[in-house]
Amino acid sequence: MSPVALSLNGLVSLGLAVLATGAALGAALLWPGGPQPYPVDLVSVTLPDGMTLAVQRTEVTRRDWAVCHAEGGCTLALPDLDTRDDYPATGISYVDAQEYLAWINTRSGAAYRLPTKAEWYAIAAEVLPETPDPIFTAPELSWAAAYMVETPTVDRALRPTGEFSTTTAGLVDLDGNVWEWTQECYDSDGSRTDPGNCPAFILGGVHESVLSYLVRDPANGGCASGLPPAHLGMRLVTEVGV
Amino acid sequence: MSRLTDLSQGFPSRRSVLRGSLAAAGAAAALGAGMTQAQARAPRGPMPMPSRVPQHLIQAEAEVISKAPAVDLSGYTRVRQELVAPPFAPVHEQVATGGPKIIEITLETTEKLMTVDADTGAEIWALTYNGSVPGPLIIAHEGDYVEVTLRNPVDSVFEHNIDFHSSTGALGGGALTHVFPGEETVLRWKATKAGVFTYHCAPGGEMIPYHVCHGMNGTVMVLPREGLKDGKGNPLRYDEILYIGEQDYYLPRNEDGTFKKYAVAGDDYADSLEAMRTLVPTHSVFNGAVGALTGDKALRSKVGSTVLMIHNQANRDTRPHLIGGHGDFVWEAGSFNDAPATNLETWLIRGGSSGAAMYTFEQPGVYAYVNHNLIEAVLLGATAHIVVEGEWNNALMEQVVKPHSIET
Repeated sequence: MSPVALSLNGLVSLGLAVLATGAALGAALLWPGGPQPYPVDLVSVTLPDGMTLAVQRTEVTRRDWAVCHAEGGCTLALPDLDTRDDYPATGISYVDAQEYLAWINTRSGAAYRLPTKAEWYAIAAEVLPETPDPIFTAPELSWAAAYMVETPTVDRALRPTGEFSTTTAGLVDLDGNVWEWTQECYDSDGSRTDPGNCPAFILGGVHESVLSYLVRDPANGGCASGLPPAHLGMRLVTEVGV
Repeated sequence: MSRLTDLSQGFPSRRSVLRGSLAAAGAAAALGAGMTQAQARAPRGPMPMPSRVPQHLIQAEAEVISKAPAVDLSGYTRVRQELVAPPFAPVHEQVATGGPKIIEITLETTEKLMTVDADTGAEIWALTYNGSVPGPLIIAHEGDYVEVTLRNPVDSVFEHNIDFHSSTGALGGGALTHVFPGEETVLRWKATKAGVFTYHCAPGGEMIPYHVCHGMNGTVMVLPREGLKDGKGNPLRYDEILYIGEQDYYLPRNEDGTFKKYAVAGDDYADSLEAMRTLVPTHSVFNGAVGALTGDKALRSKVGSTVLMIHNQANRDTRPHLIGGHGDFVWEAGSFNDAPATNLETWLIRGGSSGAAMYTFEQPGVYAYVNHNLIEAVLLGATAHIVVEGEWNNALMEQVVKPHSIET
């Protein structure tokens, strides 16, 4: 486990410290020659509000993650899952995702971030399945209403990048079995105003999910309030402008 | 210990005579008897080759058996029980009608590659009865006979047999049912004790835990002829059965922690034994796989329905708990002769036994039936979900205030 994941304060410290110093101190220490571009396959997507967002065509891959780990940016070493490099990097917590962002932004001098919930669902809408009817409609059973019983949303076995759907814009795997971290803090009543102090984030996927920032593997069992995501990963976005 | 050794050596089954020391060594191991290292180790390889027994020897075996006084089976009716895959139960009567029966069943020892956890790619060359983990639920009434045909397909790798804890004698029938690939045998045993009981494969030596930990176990339920009763003698009836086999798997790992894959059954033999020696399972699952009874495979019921939850663990202690419900009546150790405990939160199933718990659903929603070692429930897979329809009862529970920010 990442040493920075000891507390929420630790998480905040990590984010602020690395992001703030990344361009100067971090780059100087790790890359003496200054920022070195790291290839990210970006696709421009126009959002409903007219803003253009550059979105990574695929999820961050195991190959990408191995570079981040080898260069000391990512604590987590992914096991050899008997899979090729072109599989999505999975088993990623929100903390891990922040490490990856800090690494790639420091290394390349870029400004990548995770999408917001609204951005993610705008990007993915055309390939997402219709929301199934709730299995319970009584208000007392809202806690159980989202339980998935009708069909398996997706096969849980990991697949190489690009084997799920492709959007019109060319983005792949948004409807796959990897749920992607957004930067959106779960907020039941609009009171959680400090994004640096967030216990749980929303993940984009074929059904919306909320998980603690520490979770790497949403184990398939235990609590009865629904089926968790199969795998956790991430996708980069960066703002292009209006 | 030494006495048991003497017995096993003094009264070997015909089968063990026919097979040399193989079955005798297995029998001694099953009894926990002392034996020499040579006896224990010499005959066992990872892939035993089929050895055909000459027909005249099988006939000789039958003749020896027939020297015991013949049993009068004239009052019995022969019926065939069509076994079904878990978590379901075969068609049966809760209260026996008519006289005692001879219940014919067939178990085929199938070796097949099964997914244990799709998330991680974990898989096992499972050893099964009738292709499922656990094996099918078998149901009889006290006083009935169960007549099992045990059939080992010709394309199998392993020798198999079956030890019924519900039966009496010959290592639970294990000593009389060794079948090599391409063989079949028939065993008849009388259900003299009412309860739920484990059955499992026990072919001898280290093959015993290897087979049990590869899926070869299940439950026999012997109902009292008059059906189940509470501690005061009142009848207890169920609307449905949930048959849970909890399977601990010990899957060999690669150096980086991922699970090894094998081309054919038996290739994992040495690695598996090494993993089993740790006593730390990599998985503990219901119905053979992580998620086998959740999501689109979750079970369905309704408020007012009474479910008999039968839980088998052939190898290892477990502690079932119904999250959101209870065990209204629990035969923890499995004997229907004993009065059931009532209103339990969690009950213990001893390794090597089956137990039963009865519950009537009072609220709709989603229930989780788990091994309440929650590490095993969540991280190792021992979870089933039951989706229950019906009307919510505020008298039992009500959310008074929804979660909201604390005013400061």
